[in-house]
Amino acid sequence: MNSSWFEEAVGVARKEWTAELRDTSALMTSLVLSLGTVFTLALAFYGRRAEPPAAAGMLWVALLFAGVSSLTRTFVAEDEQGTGDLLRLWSRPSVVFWGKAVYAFALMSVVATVVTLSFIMFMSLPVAVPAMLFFSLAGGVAALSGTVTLTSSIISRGANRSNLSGVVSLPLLLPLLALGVAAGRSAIEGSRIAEGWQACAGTWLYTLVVFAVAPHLFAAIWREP
Amino acid sequence: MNNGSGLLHIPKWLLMLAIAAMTVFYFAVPPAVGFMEPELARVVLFHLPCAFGCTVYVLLAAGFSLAYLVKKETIWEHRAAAASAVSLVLAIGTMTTGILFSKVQWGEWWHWDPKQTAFLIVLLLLAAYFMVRMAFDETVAKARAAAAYSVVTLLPVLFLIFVFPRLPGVSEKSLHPQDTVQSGKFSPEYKAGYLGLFALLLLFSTWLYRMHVKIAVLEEKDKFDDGNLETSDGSTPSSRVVRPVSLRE
Amino acid sequence: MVGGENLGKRYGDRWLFRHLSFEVTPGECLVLVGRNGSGKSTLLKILAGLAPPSEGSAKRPDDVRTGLGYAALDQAVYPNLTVAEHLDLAASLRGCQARTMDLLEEVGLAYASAFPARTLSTGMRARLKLALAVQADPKVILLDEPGAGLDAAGLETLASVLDKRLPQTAVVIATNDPAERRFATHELELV
Repeated sequence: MNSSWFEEAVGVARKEWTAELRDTSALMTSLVLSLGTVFTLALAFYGRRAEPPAAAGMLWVALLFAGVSSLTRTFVAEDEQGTGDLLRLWSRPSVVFWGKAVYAFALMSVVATVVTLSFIMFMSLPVAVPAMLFFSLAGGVAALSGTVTLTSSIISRGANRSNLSGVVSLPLLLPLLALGVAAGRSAIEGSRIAEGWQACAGTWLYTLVVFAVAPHLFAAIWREP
Repeated sequence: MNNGSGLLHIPKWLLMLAIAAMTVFYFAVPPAVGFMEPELARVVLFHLPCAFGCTVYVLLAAGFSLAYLVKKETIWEHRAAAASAVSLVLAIGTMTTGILFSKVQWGEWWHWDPKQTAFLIVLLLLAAYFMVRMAFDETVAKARAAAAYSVVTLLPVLFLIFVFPRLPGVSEKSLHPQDTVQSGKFSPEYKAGYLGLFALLLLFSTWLYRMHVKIAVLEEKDKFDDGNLETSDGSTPSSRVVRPVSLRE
Repeated sequence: MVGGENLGKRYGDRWLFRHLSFEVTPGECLVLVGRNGSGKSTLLKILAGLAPPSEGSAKRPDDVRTGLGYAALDQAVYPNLTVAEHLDLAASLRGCQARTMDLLEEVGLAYASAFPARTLSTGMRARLKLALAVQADPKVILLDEPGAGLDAAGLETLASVLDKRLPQTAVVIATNDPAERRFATHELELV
């Protein structure tokens, strides 16, 4: 990949950020929704300590829903407001995919940070191996960004796309959820460390596979050859 | 393979006959040993072939979808859609027999058995595939989106069917007998039963699959050929053709 | 050069058009006419590669980014980017020179270069889209209702932009406006 390719992809990502920061309502909605989800989950426990498996599971469910609801916008909003064709005319498919995915990763990192920190705070959750939690979440966020970017591009021109993106993304993400929960549980309770790191590596393997496959699929469907 | 509609009738009747014979055999198999309800364990003979068949057709569907994305020929889209439909039917068959078996033999409808859980996600992915199809009414856009989604689902499907149930820490939680099928711990009657049913089910589902493809091709042909029909006075009945006018210079 | 070979498009059981073959070379301007719903805009989208044909194939320049300019009435712009930012972004993605102020001068939008696109009127958006379409000096320009929403001065601007580029460009215009048929070297009626 040459430098102009890189600049173009950065151009797409920067366009997304600029537009996002000028109209912060969407970003704020995502953050408030994520906080609301975490608070609702915490409220169900009302001060009682959650078992590590349950805590890890709830954290990932909150991340998954926050991610799917906010990342879907990357392509769905583009075709909803009618600007998708501009990108189809102006850019190479791989540039669009990577630009959007980088933006999705940045957005999701913000959301995941807020979700995780507020979750740990509300649930008074001691984390035995913070590094493991961090790396598994980072891998999960990357895989989530790539997957949802791809699925939302697949359905961005379909009917009922906003609801549909959840339906088509979630089953794809369930294996990731299983890996993330396994790593999260080990990280929180500090037991079965080796298994935890394996699951953590699994989230990164998932990311690797997603980003190896997704740009090619995207190029095949994004515009006419 | 694509023609011979007259010849198709004989294999069809043979297939029916074989299914009848298999049904009799199904009840002739002696009750399995080592189950809570040995008489009712026979559902395995149907459950296993459904699961195998579903796997075969899920893989075929992803392969056909990939072929569509590469070749952009409509026939691959018809094949992918038909294979997905057949695999959905088989998946529902697997799930239903599995849940029945689970209740009767293990005491609960749902046991969070890794294989059962993994298969439910496969079922969700298949359902999502059809949701994608339903969201598009324009045929090419539908074909492309569905094909892309089908290829995306291949990786989780492979993971869920082949890797996840065998993972250390997961496999020992399974109530499914370990490697009974591979290591041949089935009694000879059972082995003959599930292999025979598997062969029959493959034939039967291939028949369904071929019909599905044929119908799609005929529907397509019907839509594409209407403009070429000639009326008795030799004109074409379709008024929606393009007419260039007043070409200046 | 832009064109189609045996192009057809259908929605469900209904064919918009079929068996359509043509070719437009530099210096030629094909004007598509026909009643509402006859498929003019759809044909332009197919030529631009924004929609798939149901049968046949479209011919267009290999690199759409610099070889093809497209502007349509129903084409939206980014509400939160300014006029100038649209041209800068397009240039950086196309890998061509931005020429932002030159182009905005040409389409009469220089005064609005810092306006966010959501504050633009229909006519101003039409000018912006025209500037975006011709930015890379493409070999092919496809315009869908380019005069819609434009005032008298805007129509003159459109004429001068097109006249300047016609000799070295293949142009296809879809329109219901009789005035825009004056650019035509060829016409195609979709019925």
